[in-house]
Amino acid sequence: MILEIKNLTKTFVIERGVFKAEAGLVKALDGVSFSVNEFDTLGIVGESGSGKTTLAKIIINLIPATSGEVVFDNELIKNIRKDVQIVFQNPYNSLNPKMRIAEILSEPLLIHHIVPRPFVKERALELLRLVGLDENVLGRYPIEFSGGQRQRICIARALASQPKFIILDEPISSLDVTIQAQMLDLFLELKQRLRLTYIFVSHNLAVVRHIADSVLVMENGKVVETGSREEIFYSPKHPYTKALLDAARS
Amino acid sequence: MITYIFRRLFGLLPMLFGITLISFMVIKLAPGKPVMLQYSLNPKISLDEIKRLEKIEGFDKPLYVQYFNWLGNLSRFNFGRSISDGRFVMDKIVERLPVTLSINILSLFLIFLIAVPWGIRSALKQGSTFDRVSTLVMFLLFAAPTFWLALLLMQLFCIQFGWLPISGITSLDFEHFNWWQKVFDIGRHLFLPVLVSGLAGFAGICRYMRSNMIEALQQPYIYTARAKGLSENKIIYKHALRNALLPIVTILGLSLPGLLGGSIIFESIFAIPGIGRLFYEAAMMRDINLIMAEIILVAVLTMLGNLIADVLYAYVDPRIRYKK
Repeated sequence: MILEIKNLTKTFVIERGVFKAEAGLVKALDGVSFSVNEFDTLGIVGESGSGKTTLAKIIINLIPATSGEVVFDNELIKNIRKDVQIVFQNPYNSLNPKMRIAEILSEPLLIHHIVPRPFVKERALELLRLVGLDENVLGRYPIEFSGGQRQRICIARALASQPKFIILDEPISSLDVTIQAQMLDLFLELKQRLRLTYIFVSHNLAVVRHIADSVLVMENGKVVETGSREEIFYSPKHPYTKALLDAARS
Repeated sequence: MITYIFRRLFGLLPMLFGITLISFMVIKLAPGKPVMLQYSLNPKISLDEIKRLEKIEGFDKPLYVQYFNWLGNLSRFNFGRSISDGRFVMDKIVERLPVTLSINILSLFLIFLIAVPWGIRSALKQGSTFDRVSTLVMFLLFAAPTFWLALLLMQLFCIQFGWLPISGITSLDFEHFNWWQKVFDIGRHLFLPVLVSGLAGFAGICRYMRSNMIEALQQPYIYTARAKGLSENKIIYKHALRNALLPIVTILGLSLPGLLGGSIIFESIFAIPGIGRLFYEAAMMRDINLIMAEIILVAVLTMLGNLIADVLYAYVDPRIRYKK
């Protein structure tokens, strides 16, 4: 197991008024536990607001959990910022608009000492080629690219620190349908070539079925069902899973 | 970029023409004649004499002739003579310029050097006691009328404590000071004017900076930066600040006309011989050449300020690129 999540809970407090009175609690995550094996792809499905993105951000330590534990295998994951990366849903706002692609890609290369400074540009080009872009991208700004190209840049950026584990948080849902298939193939190809482990978050069952080895179904911050791809898609147990499958079929 | 700037500069000319036409006509429409100054205190002056005076200044000709004469002079950068004392308008403006310019540049420096970091700090500690207190103070400063604040500060520093001179820009025995004493003397005189003229702008920039920074820090690319493993300082001062500074650039460009325009109110309160007071006096004396010169000065600066803001914008924001 490369990652184990134990009883994770995240509560957001809603404050109201001048004195920040507590107006209510939102349980975004409620006792979530699961584990991920090395070189596997875990698909996390659920409708919007079921806590998928919150879970992704907690795993990569971008926001703190209220309680519970995120345990990485110490042998495999030594530095979470280097060995675990994330690709966000929206490629339009997850790249800094004031930075050239060269700068976006070279930052992680330099902080994590992936390659010595003189080789940074060369390495950035390699990364771009890996995701299917060419060198004339380097001097340009994110605004000059389409959504699909930007998502490729985001992937190149995530790959820059040579991670072992990548969380893909709805990485294709803001892209055109024609590009979605290309991107899925890219993810599968990269996984093979670089021996990666994925968590693939999505609300789209067809996509998860295509890419995931095992699936976890979430509803209102709770895990309602887990199992292998076959179990979830061919013999779902929980009514919510069945409802999701039904909705996807129609 | 260079061609763009030239094209824009060329495009400013028709606008300037329109501005001069309208302001010239409006001033001519105002009651009272410029030559009145020369005869109103003289009860013995005859009608013929008034006619003769008007003829000398060219005020007997039709309005459009007067306007084109004036425009012709302007095209040779000749603003004419002041009607009140016969000196060249250009000389009068140039001699007032250093005072106004130095006060405004100093206060602009003060504003940006303190307000920008202050706003950033406020944004980073959003909701803290520091942030709440400074929000309150900024709103008070922003709302306080400049003349009222100026009078209160004068009362406190100049009369109550006696630390600072009350008005003017030099002491009576300025001539006998050595260089260092002169600098110190001017500094003491300029302290309050610079402070007062800067405060409202200071509060504004501080609030702008705070809200820009808060907005930038909530953007998803900040999460990306954090996921990259960057230090918190780099995230704040490289990734967020680059985006948050953009609107400040516009304000910087737009503050250019104010730099030379001067302020009638506080130059009058502090008895500072600057551009603002010159303008006010010119208006009171119906000194048309002087008024027109100042209007053109402010108009040109406003247009240049806008242009500079646009160009700086293009420089810092890759999304704005000027092509054909």
